[in-house]
Amino acid sequence: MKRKAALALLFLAACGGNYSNGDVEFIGALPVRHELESKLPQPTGQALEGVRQDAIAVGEPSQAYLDTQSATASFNGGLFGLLDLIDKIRVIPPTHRDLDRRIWGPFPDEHNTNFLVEVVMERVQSVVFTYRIEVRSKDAPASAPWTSLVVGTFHGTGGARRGIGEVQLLAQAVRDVGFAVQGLDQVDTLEMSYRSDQSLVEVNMLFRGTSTAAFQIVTYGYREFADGQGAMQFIATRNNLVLSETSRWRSSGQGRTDSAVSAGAYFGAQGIECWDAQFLVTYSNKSWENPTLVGNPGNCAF
Amino acid sequence: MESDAGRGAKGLVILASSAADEDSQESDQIGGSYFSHHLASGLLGDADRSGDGRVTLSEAYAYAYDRTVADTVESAAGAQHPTYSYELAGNGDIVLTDVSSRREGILFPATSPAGAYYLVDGRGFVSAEVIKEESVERRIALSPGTYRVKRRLPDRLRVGEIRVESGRIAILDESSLRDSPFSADPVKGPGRLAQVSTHVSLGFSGFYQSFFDGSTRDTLFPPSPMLGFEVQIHNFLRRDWVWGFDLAFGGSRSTLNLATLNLPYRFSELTAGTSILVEWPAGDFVPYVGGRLALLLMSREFDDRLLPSQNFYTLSPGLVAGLRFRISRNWGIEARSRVHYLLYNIEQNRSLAYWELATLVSYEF
Repeated sequence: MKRKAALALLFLAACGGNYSNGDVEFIGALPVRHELESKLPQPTGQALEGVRQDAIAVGEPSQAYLDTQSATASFNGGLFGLLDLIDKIRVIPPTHRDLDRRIWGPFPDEHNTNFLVEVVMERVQSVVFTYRIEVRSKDAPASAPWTSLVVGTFHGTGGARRGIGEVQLLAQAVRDVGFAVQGLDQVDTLEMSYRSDQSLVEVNMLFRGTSTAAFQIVTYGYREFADGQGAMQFIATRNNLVLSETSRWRSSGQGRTDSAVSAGAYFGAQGIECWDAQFLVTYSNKSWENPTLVGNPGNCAF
Repeated sequence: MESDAGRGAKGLVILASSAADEDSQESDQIGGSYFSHHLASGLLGDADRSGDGRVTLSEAYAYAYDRTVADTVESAAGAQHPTYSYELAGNGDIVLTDVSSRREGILFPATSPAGAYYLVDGRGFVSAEVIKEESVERRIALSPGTYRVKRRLPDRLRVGEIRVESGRIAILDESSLRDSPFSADPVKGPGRLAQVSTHVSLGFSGFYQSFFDGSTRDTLFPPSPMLGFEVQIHNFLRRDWVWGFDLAFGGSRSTLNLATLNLPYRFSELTAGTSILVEWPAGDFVPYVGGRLALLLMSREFDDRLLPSQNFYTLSPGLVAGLRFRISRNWGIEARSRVHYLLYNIEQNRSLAYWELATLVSYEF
């Protein structure tokens, strides 16, 4: 009997690796940033520059495009901040495997050295997964509860990462227990919902600012179509002012931005600006500009 | 051995294989020392010069002496002369073996032609030699089994097969022997010499590996063709045992089909193994069986590069059986099968098994 046990131990000790179909299914339920990030066409070579005239004119660099670029950078920054946390477990084999659960960690956090981090993924139905990233002080007893930093769900519809998902980053909740979230100091919560399939990527993101943040609520809505067209809607709320901008673009770079103030001091202000493949103004019709109208609307891509 | 101690014989007898200033020589062909071989053959019955069915001490020594001197007289070391020392008291001769009482053996009828007969066992070794004289019946005791019989003539061999069954004396029938050239000598041919000496062979193999379980093939380890290289050491651990080392690499393309996932991937496998085989050389065909322990390194890379590559390593014990065919003095081709056990323990402990079918080309040095 002892010999059999020793033999079994030898073979168990000599086995190892991460060759697991279950791992593939779990990892395949996690969103990847490059599939969800905004892919606004960028100027090739040097950055977009030009001489802004006192009055808007056809052929000058499009401010609407630059605003869209800025919104895209903010959108992608939030997305990366959220998904970078998830990406870390993609390359690490789970520490613990059950039939419908995987656990990574606990690991010491590289920025919060007094904290442990663990990731728990569970399969709640055949193609429905939940996951959470949790933190806890190193000094806490083993029975102490974990505090969730990220909570997500994913409903697969076919193919790796193809499906509908929701992810929440609970920045303020972990700050309250002493855990610092890098680069998201002004964010209370960040909520993202997304849908990804063969023909469409749809991402909605909602930032709630802390009480001291320069914004209260900012939402982004991003769409990416199979033919390379994209759209970004940006709505910011601050001091009762609600500003929305909706930009659409083609893969060639041509685009259009519709702006509107729907509440607050500039209520009713509206504007349209179109740009060409070189991101230069082709048409502008903005109620706050002088002159209000330049260019030909026939030169707009949309 | 029977000593007939009832006659009150008393004393000490020493038989030495050679004189004090001689080496005791051994032979690859008979697989041991000349003296021991001939003494054993004599005790089996061939030394019974009196024909009374009993081999006495003096008959056994005389037989072993004559045969040893005859076999070594032309050797590089020169003739080897077995010696004796008798300090005996008693009466009559001392009977060492009583062949007539043995229930199994071979009877050479008086009508059988005279000459030297060699009896070769299933492993190709000479079990006994019989020097048959004209019109004299000879009897030799042998264990049950099948023996090849060889008688040398000046220009050819006479060979045949005889089966000794339990509890029976088999009678050699001269008409069952057939003429055969010297190249087909089951004992002293070049092939036999090559087999009994320690030597190395190299082999290149191509084989196909597949798991018995269908779901394992579909979702874990797909069937794969592989190419391998092997080194084998023959007759190193024991005569007709082969100690082998092998290295192989292979792979295939497959698709992992799960609930909502269809993921093409590339499967790769590297194996390193060591095996111990036992051969039964029988002319140009050499069947063998044995055991093998292999280290398997398996990995898969998904076409979707965002999924991490996966790997698995394990030790895998198995059984090997094969048949080698000697196509020339050095070259051989083989057909081989393996069955292996594999413990998969990543998600849960699963006992799996796979098979391999291989063809090899080997070169013996």
